[in-house]
Amino acid sequence: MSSDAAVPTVKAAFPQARVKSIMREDKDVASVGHDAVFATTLATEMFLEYLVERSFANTRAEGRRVVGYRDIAKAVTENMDLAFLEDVIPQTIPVKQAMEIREKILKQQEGP
Amino acid sequence: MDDDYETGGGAAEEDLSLPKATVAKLINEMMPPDIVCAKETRDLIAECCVEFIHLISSQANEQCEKEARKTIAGEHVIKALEELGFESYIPEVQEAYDDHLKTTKERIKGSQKKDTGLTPEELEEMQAALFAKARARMHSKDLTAEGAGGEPSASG
Repeated sequence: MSSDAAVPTVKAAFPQARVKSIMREDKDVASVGHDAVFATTLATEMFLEYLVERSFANTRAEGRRVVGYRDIAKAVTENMDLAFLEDVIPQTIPVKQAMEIREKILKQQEGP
Repeated sequence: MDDDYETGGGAAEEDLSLPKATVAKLINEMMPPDIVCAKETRDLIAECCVEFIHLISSQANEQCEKEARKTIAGEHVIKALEELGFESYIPEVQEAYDDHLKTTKERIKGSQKKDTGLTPEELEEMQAALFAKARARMHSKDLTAEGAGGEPSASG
């Protein structure tokens, strides 16, 4: 292993076989090259980072310490790149209220 | 083969998910010390990632078909990222991909010789020394067999 690399090698954390299976769930997708799977895996990890970042920023902005559904929902509403997630995220107000209550309970359970 | 098992047609796109442990690890690595992520939220984030994969594959597939190619390649994924507004990911993905390619090539080359951890120069030196020793051995053998002063047989 080369030890003179200044920049750490980015390694895929997600299992590429799983990512490939997920890609192939789309019936239109016939054949996926290994390089495509690798690129997708990396991009997905970067996407996760982006989503988490946007979400906990909202958590913090509201003075809470536990990231909940509402923080992700807000991130999805506020960011154009996340608009494709609108169908995945529960947005209804009753749910939101239920989540608030649930968060309080979770926070109590998590401890200080 | 189990013919009763329903495999065809299904529109169930959420059957596969990313390993929860890996998702949890990546999330935790990113979190500041004072904020935690609820378990349900982690699961939701994992689902979002799966959606993202579908989004990218679908777009990359379109690109691939446009070029009348059969296999989705890395460049199609890159193009998809660009078209979907994730162009900021491209430099890092590209760099890691190039790096990965280089590492894979080196690993393949390396596995063809034993990995002794020596530099190519050191290996060459060792090899030259071994050849010299072998030659010397042969030379002395020839001398013993044919009597003194025999010329070493030309043997490569």
